[in-house]
Amino acid sequence: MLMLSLIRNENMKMFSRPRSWIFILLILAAVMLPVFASFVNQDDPAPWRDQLEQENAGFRTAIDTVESEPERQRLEERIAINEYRLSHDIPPYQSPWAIVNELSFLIPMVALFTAITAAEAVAGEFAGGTIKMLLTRPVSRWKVLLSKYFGSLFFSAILLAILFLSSLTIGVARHGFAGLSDPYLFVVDGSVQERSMLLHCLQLYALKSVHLLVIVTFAFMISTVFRGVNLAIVTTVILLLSGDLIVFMLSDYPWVKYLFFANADLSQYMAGGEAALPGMSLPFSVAVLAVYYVIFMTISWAVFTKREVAAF
Amino acid sequence: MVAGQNERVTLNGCRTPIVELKNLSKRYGGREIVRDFSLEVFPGEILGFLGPNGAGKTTVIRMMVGLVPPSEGEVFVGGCNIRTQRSQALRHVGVIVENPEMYKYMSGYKNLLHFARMIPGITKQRIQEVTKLVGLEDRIHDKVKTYSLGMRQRLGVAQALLHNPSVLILDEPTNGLDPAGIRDLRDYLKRLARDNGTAVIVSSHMLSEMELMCDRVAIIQQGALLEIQSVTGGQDVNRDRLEMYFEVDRPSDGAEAALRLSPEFVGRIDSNGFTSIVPKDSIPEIAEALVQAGVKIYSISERYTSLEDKFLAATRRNSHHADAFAH
Repeated sequence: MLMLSLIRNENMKMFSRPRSWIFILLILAAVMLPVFASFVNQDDPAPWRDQLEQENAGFRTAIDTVESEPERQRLEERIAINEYRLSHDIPPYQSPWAIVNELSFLIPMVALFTAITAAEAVAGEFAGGTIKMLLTRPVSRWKVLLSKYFGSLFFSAILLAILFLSSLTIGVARHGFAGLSDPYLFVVDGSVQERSMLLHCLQLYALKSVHLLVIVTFAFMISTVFRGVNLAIVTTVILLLSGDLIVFMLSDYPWVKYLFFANADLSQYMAGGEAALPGMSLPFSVAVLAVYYVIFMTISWAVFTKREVAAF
Repeated sequence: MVAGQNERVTLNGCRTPIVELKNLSKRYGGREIVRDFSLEVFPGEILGFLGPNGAGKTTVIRMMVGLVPPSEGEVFVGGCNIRTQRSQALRHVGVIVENPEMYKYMSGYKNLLHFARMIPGITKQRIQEVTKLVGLEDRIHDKVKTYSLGMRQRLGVAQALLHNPSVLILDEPTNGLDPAGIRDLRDYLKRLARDNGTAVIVSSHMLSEMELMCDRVAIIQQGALLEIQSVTGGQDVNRDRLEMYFEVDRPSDGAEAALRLSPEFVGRIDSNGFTSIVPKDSIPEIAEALVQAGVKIYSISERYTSLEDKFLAATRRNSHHADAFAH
């Protein structure tokens, strides 16, 4: 009951700041932009069958000149999917889900905004001096911290829901409700498989949510360790943005697969996907993330419950 | 501490203290910020922490409310140890540590709502009550960043009072208040102590303020409690040592005339007159001496600086001690 009140407090603070609303508006704008752009490009009236035939013809000529094996395989899969569409009469990208699926590339934006918010959550109270008011109430410190953590998670869930629903809305506006039942196609061992598009999108979001969860926890730890808001935000964002680069630069070392960033995005294991580095699998990444999660949480809790709130 | 025991006698001895500080010490590195600080605060009294800036007043307050753990010693509030029964202890306490830092991007009302939610049982009606109490009804729905310092101070007092605490701790509460605001706050705190039996602890580096507000004043210097003085106001001040100010046309001649009566009537001289510490009976004599010396008297008034005397005496005595220890 008390915890619920504390979380309501966190939400009240969150949504009293213009920043949170700006984040929401930015996500809505980002969702709209590519769609408007493609409206403009929608002048090609050619039937989708002709388009796919042409595409396949192009792929086939390309396949002979391609040297690398993975690239050849990728092209072959695309040809197979196109042929499957032609023979089963499934037009490409006519489903609202396809738009949801495509716009999921904006999820890192949600991660960035969430990281900024979480990084500010604790550091901001210290910087503003309000931590004194917060910690002189008859509420234990760990409850205050937990409510802040839940508040940050709640905010990331809201941003994610906004992204999902606005993508879906635009998809429906674009293609109508008809395409909602279109299947998602992918290739396993050379044969084309069908599955529900809704399921696919939800799975994508769920796996990305694990990513978000770990990022929020990471940012939150930084926030409790650093007192300065700017330091906390900058550190978090830099580590977040440079994560892929770090993994790429160190990819020759075998221990790189134990890095937090290499495992953060679980959607790499989705149907038809492939692990970024050899020796990694979904259970492996989940285990690595779980270890990091426990470490981040322990540090946050240890630092926050012990910290002296001395003069600034 | 001797001073503490004396106070028990003067404040009818049967009352139990609501706040007890036992041998509090705080060290950072090798520096001792607070030394062996013991004190008892009783319901219904207003106690002042008086000391220069940096004397350790705020550190003592931070230890009292669990923001900083003491290096040694214990704090009890309402019988609960702040370290082991933090929540129960803090339930009795309303506090402003240093400036009242509120969420500036929210309205005053939302700030109060925020802190009200952290303690079960505070109604919306209570929020309205404290708002009215501190006179912020008109501005309570405006964002705190538009408030003046005095309004923030009042909002701080409002949030500290939300849960009807038995101990109210205010660190430099008159900062940023105008004279009328200071007077309102003083009257309110006195009423709170008298009618609700709330123990009020205020810190300040301003003597005059403490003297008007407090029942007792704890004089703090270099992290140590020097002594606790009862403040008796103007009524029963020692009749043998009144500090009088003589406003005259020739201050130095006047002071000389007073000195001639008794070498103990030493006073400070300024351009408009002089002060003199004298027994009440001697005032007419001095007046007569002044008239005889041809000095024109414009006014004779009493100065209530008993606390200042005590403060200076206490701090001076302590520095002698310090010297003695050094040798």
